[in-house]
Amino acid sequence: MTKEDFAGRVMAAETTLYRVARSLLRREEDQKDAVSEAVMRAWAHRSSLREEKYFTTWLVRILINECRRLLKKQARTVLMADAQWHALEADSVPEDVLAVSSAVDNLPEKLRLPVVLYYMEGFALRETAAILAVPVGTVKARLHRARKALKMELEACEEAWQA
Amino acid sequence: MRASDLKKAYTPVPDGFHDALFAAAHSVKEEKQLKHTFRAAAIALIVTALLCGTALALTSLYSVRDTWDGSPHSEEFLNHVLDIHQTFENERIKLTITDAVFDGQEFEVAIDLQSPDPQKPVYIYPRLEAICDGQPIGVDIEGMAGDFLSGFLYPNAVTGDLLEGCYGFSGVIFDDKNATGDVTFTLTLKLLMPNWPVSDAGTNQEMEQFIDAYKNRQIYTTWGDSLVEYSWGAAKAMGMSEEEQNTTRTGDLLEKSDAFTLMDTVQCTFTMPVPKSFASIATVGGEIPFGEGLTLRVEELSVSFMRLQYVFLVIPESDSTWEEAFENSYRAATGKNADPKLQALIQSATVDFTVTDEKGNVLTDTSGHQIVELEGRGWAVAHSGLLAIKEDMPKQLTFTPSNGQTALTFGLDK
Repeated sequence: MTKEDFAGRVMAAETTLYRVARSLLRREEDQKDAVSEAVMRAWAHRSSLREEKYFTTWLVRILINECRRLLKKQARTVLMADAQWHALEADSVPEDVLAVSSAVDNLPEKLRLPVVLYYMEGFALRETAAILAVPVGTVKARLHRARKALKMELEACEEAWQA
Repeated sequence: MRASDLKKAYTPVPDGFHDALFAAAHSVKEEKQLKHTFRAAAIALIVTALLCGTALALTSLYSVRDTWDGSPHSEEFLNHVLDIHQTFENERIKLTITDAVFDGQEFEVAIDLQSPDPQKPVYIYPRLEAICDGQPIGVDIEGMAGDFLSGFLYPNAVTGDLLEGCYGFSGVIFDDKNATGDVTFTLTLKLLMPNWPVSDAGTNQEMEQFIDAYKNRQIYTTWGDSLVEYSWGAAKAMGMSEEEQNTTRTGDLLEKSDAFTLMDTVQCTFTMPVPKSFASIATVGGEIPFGEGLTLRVEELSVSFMRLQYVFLVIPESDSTWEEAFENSYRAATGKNADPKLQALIQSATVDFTVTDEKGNVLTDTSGHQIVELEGRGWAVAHSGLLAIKEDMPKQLTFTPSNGQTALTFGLDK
């Protein structure tokens, strides 16, 4: 793979990479750091990619690891960061969309990542399983739980607004 | 909420992110040719080895020894695999319970499925019982591939058999007391045949749809293989009471309906010992001070050749009630009327743990934080982590908290 091929494939996966980084890291600066580092690592370890058709799933896996590495470096302030982030987004995003993104963000990582990869990015169950290194059935089970959790969260949200 | 709502949940790619990605993608440099050629030769060797492995795998049944990413299992894992190879076959399905592995608390069972005619699906509905020292013990199952919790239609009505026969489930013993002797598992698989045409409910899944489908002698799946929603619709259409619906399992509801007929029942019993290496430590040493106004409780810590799992509770001294804390944390998460005092408390109780083994290797995991209610204690932040052990089991684990408090070390030698 030439560096031009590599750059082209990376840019083609831009939206996917953003959503995955965004689902794990709240601050844009962190998202940028993680994706830059992931791209560098991917290039350095491109020989580990067995088939080029799996480029995106392989790159997403590297990015997830990079996001986790970054999270571990930081003393997490989950709720504070959430509050700041949502306050920033609240001005520019419709309330119903904000409620869904907030509900997705409030899912535990184990449930959030399958939702992002499967529903938002359209990866197949098997691809999602490969990215997360878990069996397909586990992805299914997590998606099932995520749907239930999202439903509850959004209903609670609606009730809170109506009150 | 529909899947399309989720697609809109995150904003478009910000310019800053695009710029960073573009810069990174275009800043990579190619190495000198010599190094590249050497690497290519090495890859050729590895690929050849992998292809040999794949060829072998293709001719064999799905097994717990198989991994999705091709990474090898540890020797200890392989030593604990029990070969079962029990096959059942009728006109709609060929089913082999291949093998199983048990680490003392968690187990995996691999099942290989083949359909001679994908147009003739079958609903597979499992039950699992476990006995240790003559006493039944509680087990909880989760689909490893296929929904073994509430059963599933095979092949999938929408996608067909995407898994190419590779099914199975994992489960966990959830009794308060750990199993100590041999555990005898009995797996019962009921095979139900649909009596009516099968189609998928699509994305608009309203309960009325499933009730009407049953009344019209049709079967509606959810996600192509789930019949949970349909079984509720069938129960309502059959006039079952709410209580009866709630206390009857999915497969039993379907069996009682006219929509399915029980074809066969497959039963398999196997006994597996608790490995000597399994270590489970619960509530070690009670509670310890964990910084100003905080207490730490080790709620759960178990380690096996398959995985490490822990739950630590960080309990703040606060007179806030659970309801207040939950309400305020929800407001904090949505940016509405956050209470700075409570946020600060939650923040102080939310720490990271770096997990290392006796050699100082950092074990990465998918840890998360959750606010939980403690009976009589108000609320706490639960820190839980679960990670797969791919190599040798650690002999010692050290959890170093990010708030500067003393690290917790656990020896795991028996």
